[in-house]
Amino acid sequence: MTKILVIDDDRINLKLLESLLKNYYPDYEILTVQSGPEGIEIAKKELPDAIILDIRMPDMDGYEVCKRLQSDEYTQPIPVIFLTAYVADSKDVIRGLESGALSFLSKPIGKDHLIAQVNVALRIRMAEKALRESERKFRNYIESSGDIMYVVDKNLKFLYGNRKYLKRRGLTQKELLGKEHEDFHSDEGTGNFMERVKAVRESGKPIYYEYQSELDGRYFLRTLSPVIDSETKESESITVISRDITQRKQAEEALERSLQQQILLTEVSFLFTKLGKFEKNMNDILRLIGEYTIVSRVYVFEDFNNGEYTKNTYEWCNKNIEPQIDNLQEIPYTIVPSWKKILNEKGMVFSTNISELPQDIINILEPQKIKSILVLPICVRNKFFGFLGFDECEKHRIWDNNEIELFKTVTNIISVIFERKQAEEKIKEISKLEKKRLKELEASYEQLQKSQEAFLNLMEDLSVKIVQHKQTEDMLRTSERKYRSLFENIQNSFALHEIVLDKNGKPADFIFLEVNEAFELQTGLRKKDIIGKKATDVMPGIENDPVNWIQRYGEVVLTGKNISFENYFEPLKKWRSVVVYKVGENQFATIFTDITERKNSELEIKQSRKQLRRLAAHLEDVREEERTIIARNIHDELGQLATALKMDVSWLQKQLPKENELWIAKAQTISDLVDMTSAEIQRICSDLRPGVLDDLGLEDALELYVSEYNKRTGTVCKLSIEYDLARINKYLSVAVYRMIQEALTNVRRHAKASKVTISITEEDSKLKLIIKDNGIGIRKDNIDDSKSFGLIGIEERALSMNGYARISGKKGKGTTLEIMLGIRNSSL
Amino acid sequence: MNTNLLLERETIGYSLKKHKPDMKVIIADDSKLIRDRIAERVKLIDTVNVVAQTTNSFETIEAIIKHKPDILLLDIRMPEGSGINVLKYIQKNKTRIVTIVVTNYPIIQYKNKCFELGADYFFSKATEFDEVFKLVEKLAKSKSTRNT
Repeated sequence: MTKILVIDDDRINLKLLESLLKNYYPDYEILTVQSGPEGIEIAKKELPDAIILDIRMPDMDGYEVCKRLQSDEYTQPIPVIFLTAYVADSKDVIRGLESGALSFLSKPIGKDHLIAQVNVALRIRMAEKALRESERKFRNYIESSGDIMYVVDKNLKFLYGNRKYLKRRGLTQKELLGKEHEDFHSDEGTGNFMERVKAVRESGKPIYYEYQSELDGRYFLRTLSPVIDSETKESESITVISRDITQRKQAEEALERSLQQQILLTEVSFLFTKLGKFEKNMNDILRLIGEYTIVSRVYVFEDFNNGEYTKNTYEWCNKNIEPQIDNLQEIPYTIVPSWKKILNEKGMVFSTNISELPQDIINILEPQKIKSILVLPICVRNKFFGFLGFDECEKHRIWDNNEIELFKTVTNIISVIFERKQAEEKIKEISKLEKKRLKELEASYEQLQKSQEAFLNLMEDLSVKIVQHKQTEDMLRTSERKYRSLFENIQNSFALHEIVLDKNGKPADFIFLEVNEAFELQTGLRKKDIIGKKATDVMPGIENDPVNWIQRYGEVVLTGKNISFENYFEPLKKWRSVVVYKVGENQFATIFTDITERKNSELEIKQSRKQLRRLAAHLEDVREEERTIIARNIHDELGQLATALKMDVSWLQKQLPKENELWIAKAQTISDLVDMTSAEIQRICSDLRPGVLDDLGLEDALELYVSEYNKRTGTVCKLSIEYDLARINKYLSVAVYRMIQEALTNVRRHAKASKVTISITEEDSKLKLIIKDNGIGIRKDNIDDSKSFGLIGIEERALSMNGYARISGKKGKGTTLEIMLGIRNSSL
Repeated sequence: MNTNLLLERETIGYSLKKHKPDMKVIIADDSKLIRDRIAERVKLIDTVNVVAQTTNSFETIEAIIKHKPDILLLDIRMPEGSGINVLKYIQKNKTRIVTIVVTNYPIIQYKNKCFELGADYFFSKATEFDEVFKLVEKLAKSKSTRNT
């Protein structure tokens, strides 16, 4: 609320002025006092917006009151109007104005004159208040801003610094003022700053630049703006605003890093899914990691001898780094007891300065000149297998968390690789072992038969040569002993049976004649409980078993044909293979082999394949996504640029003088080159990711691809689509497109075909693709060849989409690729 | 000085009245480089008024609703919804507009699709650039003849 204070010792005057002012300013508060000291007191308390002051007053005259008001910080800006009852001479007026008053009025004063003066006073007061308010706001903004601000003059002397800047420099405003820029910055920094300040002063325009602080390495976006002097029109000083962009910078760097990591992981995973020499792939992986992280050495150790020793199996070394692999072939863990302990407890051995590590580890690392180290354990099937390590020999390297996370992922991938390798080796080993055992068995059986024959012969002889009785008996015993020991020593369970036929000659039961020890172990049946007994008595319910044992056995006896099959034996939780063959009239033998281990390994392999498949499919998705982005970027940036260039060149061509043939020819060459560039960009984009596929769908995309293919290769490729491809989802569309692309690439590279037909139909709610050519025909060994990675890619993709892919070929009669894909749920 | 200004303004007003740009054109292309070049050329035709320049299908549809243009110069491949969407919109709403597709991908599949969706013309951005302006000029002429 606006307030006006009137100070006058004459009560009547006071009343008069009060009523006059009240009448004129009904909304204002009019304060009245009768003495100077009282007036000063009220003025300080109420801070009125204007003061009307009488000069002649008994306690303290108006000049004194005015002087005192002027000397107070708060009352100083209040405009004062002197009012006097007598005719004042110019001396009085000068004295009054010198004491700080706004104006001097002497009576008689016209009402309007007074009001006009009061209005002027109020206006001045309002303007002063508004200025003060804006200054306060401005100061507040500067001080509360998160940005650093300061002002320097043209000689780089500090004129002002906001709180943020003072805090950063640890100074007070007073300490800052008059200091020079070079007091806080290096000569070089000052030099750069000076140049920029000069540029700003000359151009009169602000400049922006990014800047890294020498103080703490933080990044700032600096704005230098000139402060133009309103009189000289020159920039006498420069304001500097620095916004801290360290976080943004860091985010950008982190993004860049994570992008590179992704690329590395993709490449590593790709090597991992790639077929070919295991050792080469592993060395490639180490090289990739080494080149990415820039360390001295990357290596893999594998344990052996039940984990008592370890040895260096793969190694990659940076330039000028001495390989260590040959020196590290047999390290007993007993000389580095802390090694495995730390790996197990902390999940890694990791140090920027190896002197922090236990002494036994230092002893091993120091001779190799290692300064920093990071080692991660490799576990295969939850068992410690070995470790992946990184050495730095040149400096003390800091391992950041991102990097360690990345290495952990890489270690996991390497673990899976070893797991797969182990499983594959195991399978090989087991199948070898099985073959060996089967051979042994055959040999024993042969011997068994021979001894039986010998036995029968002897029996014949017995009837005629009673004289030789004693001798025969001995021989018989020897033979029997031999036979029995063989029989018992066979590791596979062996049993001899006699079939029981019903009155129609159909198999109804069988009787156990002989079994070996292994049989007892494998079936849980005791020899003494079953010999001479019927199977239906020994194993009640056998006649209803889904394996249909009696019928199957009977078949062997009746037909004389051997059979073999695999069977899971629930009570002992074991897999076994069963071989049945006829031995004599109504007799048959069974051999049960325990194949549980093999079966389990097979399951493991299947599991691991499934994981690989999922990983491969995922990688494929990632690659597809990346290709889309790259294609889009190339189109947006380069494609448009080339088109714009073309437009400009064609404009230019029209402007050229017709008589200058040389220029015209040159311009035409440029135009042709731009056309070629354009075409090339479009080809690259559409190879990466055909836009048609996204804009128009699979059918158009395939048609376009096939017509381009025909143009490019001279092949006649026909496309027949008998399925509404608009119905399938994008994921499947992309997969189909890529598979056909891959298949046609294979045809072009290997088939030497002149015709290809592609048909797309539906069969059993699945999408069926057939790509058939009339080329040389793929050979069986080509299919399995590691070079046909494309085919394997198709196969894996199809399997991951509830389908399959089959390839077949006949020499000279072409190749057919058949692919089935699940239509529903075909997204991962 | 003041009088001069006034005179100048009146002269402009006069010329505006005489050659009033009555051919409203929208240019839809995500590349500023291309838009600038198209606009630069189209503006040389004196009855043409470029009422909007848009960078994706949504902006384009909005601009069509707002300005009811006579001609749309449309790019196919744009981020966030391709020109195909714009054609679909125009066909569905039976908007009266001459659509000229100007694309970097002058392939038959796109051409067929665009005509199927009611596009009136289809040009290659790189090689048939001049034809586009000849066409716009022709359309502009025939419109002003119709108007008079």
